[in-house]
Amino acid sequence: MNSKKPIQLLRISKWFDEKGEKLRVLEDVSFTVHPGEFVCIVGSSGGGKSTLLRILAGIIEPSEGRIINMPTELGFVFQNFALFPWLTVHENIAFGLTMADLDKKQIETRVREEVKRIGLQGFERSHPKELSGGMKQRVGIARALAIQPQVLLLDEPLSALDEITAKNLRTDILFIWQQTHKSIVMVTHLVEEAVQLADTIVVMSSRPGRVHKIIKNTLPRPRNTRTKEFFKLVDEIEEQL
Amino acid sequence: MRFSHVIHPNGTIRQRRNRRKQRWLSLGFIVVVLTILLIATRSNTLNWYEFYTFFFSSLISVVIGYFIAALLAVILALASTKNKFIENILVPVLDVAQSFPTFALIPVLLVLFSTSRWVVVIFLVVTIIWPITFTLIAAIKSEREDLSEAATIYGAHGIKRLRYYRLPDMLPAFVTGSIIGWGEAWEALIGAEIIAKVSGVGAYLGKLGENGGVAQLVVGITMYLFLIFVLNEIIWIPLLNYSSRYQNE
Repeated sequence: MNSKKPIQLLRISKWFDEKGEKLRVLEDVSFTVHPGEFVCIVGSSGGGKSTLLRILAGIIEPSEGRIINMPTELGFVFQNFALFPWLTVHENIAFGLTMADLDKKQIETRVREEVKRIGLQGFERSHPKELSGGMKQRVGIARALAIQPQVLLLDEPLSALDEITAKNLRTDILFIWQQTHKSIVMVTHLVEEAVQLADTIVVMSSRPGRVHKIIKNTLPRPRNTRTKEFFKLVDEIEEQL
Repeated sequence: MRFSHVIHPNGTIRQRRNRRKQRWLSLGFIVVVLTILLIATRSNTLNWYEFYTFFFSSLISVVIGYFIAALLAVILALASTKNKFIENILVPVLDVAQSFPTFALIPVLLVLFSTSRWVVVIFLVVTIIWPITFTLIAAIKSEREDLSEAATIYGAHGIKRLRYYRLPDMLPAFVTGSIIGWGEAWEALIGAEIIAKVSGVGAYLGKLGENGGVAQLVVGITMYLFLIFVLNEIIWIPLLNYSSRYQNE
């Protein structure tokens, strides 16, 4: 798998059997994620966005269609953090590295780097129960980054957090993206969030989820969320939903 | 990176200290009552040496029965939740098997093993296995989907999945099921030893009753309950507290 090649989703459809009937969740979804690109998928709830992300992650098989050039090294950040409660912050971050059989020294170095990056020094021995929501999500992000993935998949990573924490973490995600140059695919239902973060915004309609429009976000970075152009783009996307 | 909204883990440390304090208080209470009991019955003819010897021999049966049952329960729970097809076959079979009256097994076991200790051990295995198995099955079926997905995405497959995800995830349910099974085992032990005529604390207490030593029988049963309580305090309560760390939020 080559990280320099764009990830292509080709006519992805997904349906589930429900009482003998086909429940269509996704239909004919196609778009491309270029190397180092920040793509946001927006749409209303129940539109199959999270299912699409899980298809990208390889944990759900598409019923039709295929994905080309999807790297095997991928990090996934969950809406409700999905930290293992029996492991400490250090062990949670090291989880993927332990599974990959890296030696202890390498694991230690990588975990230390990520703990520093997310600003959780001093909490390495804490368990998830002892952390606030924002801290838990930082650990989730660190776990994803520790395996040095080529692509980061974020499933509504800020929706379980209060507004102030979400705002801080949004800035941090942007900082991580600019620092690491990784491709990011993020699912969100907040249009402002997508406009603030993304290069490309995939607007999806729901039941079944289809790509309604793909919008290239050309607003200059760092983005001012109070400008006329910003609100104009937000309005334009909201009209599509 | 900002570093706000930090909760210092002091609260949890305090909770842990409180739990430890409560445990020490319980143990202190046990020691006081035990002392009173021993003083009150010092002139009684109950042979304590015999009692403790038989209790220890029964304890060995319970421990062996527990370990065999626990191992089988884990295997059964993992096997029956492996996929929907196996689950649809195995869970109804286990459900019927667990409703079978365990005491009805004793005549069969006596034919197979005569009056050996294995009659009691196998009887205890059959008693202990169901609470653990069904608590584990319930825990696996109600697992947090995102945790399972995280384990898959970050490479926990095969044996690694079992070691680093499945077993730790099952631990709280395993401890809960074990406490129920362990309790039921002590309850069933007395009957099993009396019926099977296998030496142990149950048979000893049964003999006291037959010989008309009511006072001795009461003291013996109280001590029996007491020792089980002590074992709970020493083994299961700390394990329960420990396993709470493994519980999902």
